Amino acid sequence: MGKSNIKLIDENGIRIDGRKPDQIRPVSMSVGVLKNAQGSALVSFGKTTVLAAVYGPREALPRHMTLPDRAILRVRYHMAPFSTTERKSPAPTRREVELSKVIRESLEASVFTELYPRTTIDIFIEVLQADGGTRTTSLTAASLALADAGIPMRDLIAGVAVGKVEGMLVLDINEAEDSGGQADMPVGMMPNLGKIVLLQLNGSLSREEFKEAMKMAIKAIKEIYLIQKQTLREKYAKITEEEREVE
Amino acid sequence: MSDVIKPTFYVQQKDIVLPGDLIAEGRVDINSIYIFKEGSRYYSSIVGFVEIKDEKVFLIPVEHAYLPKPNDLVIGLITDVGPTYWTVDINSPYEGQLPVSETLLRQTQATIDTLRKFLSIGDHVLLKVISFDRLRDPVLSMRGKGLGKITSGKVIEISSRISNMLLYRKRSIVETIARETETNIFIGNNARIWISGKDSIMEDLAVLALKKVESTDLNISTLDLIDFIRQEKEKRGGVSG
Repeated sequence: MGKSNIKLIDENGIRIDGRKPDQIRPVSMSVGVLKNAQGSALVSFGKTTVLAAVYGPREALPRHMTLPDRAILRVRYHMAPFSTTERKSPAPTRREVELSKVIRESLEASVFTELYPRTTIDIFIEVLQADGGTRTTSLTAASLALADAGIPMRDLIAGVAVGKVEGMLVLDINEAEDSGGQADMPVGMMPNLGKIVLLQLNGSLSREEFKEAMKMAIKAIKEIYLIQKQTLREKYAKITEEEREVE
Repeated sequence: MSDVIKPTFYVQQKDIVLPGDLIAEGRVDINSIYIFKEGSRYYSSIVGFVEIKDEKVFLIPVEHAYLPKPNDLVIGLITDVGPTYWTVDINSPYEGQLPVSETLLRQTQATIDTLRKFLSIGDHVLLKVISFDRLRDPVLSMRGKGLGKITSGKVIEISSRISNMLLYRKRSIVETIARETETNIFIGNNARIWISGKDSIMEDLAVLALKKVESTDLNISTLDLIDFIRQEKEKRGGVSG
């Protein structure tokens, strides 16, 4: 990690993109953006934009992949060739294969797969623009898309990354902070049940720093969770009102 | 009454709940597979509407995959002909099976050729679910009143929520459309609708009206719907109603 001459945090504690250390980027979410998919969501954290689509539960092909007691989840995390500043080859890289697995395992903790034995639920995640924190954004989007598809799950999953930049803990790091920082810790959580479903750490944090970072992440995740819920509610708010009129 | 913990409800009638939302605590009668229990607390696992009736909680999902239940009437599409059965797509994660023994075809004459003649790929059929246990594909039957091959009319697919609403709550909308277009409208449990009428113009009109109902999210009054149908009817050369 070469020292670049750009300061990532200035003397007033303001970050490179003008945020405070414990501030997340502006979040926007929408659900049901794709008509062909059973469920879909478009989520962006600042410049990072991710599209997720859910198909299923449906019959799995090839048949031998299915499990007799539950549905299988198939997750494909993919970065669009135009998502980065330099063209990314569209072929799945090692990193994408790994992230697909990590996201799948997180989602498996929340989805009631046992309700649909012998089927598959396919989740396609497409990173349209990458600026750090794509795995947590993807996880947030995938969870929203699953809810939109009407797939039963324990709770929505929201995620955020905490990083250490110039010796300081910062929330929701972007690409510049990720490559110039000392640590990156993505956290995924089911906030209502208080369960952590994703926890990774790249770099090093002291015990105290870790505790502090978790606190920051949980606080931010609760904020993101509220936005998730509001997004889902908005889609169906119209229906509730009209049904009340009928009563 | 004293030894039973009085349940606490955290939701009201017709509230919209999301996955992970707390519904109730204590001893509650739950009547939905979409509600799960953690300790003594009940949570929703899906986006849906809550209904509380005599301390019983129901959850009507907004969007869900169709899971066959015995005695459901479904509209299927034949996708394959096997040696002694047909494979039927019933708009569900599971493919239905229609064995020869559940049709009016005599089993002694069942060869793949006679099977193909009786029902071939692409045919729509109105069937009843006789069993489904998650380990085996749903078994369907053609024996029963009104069941059989759909030879006339049109079959359309709509969203599961709208279909359930039309089937159980808003019969009046369906009846209005049927009356105005002089068609028979049958709604299957699997979100497929069969429309049959005198001629295809009237059937198209009914399809159009149903699509209108779907696109407005059931947010249309009966009078508006009648107006809409009459206007469309006039555009098509004013078949007298």
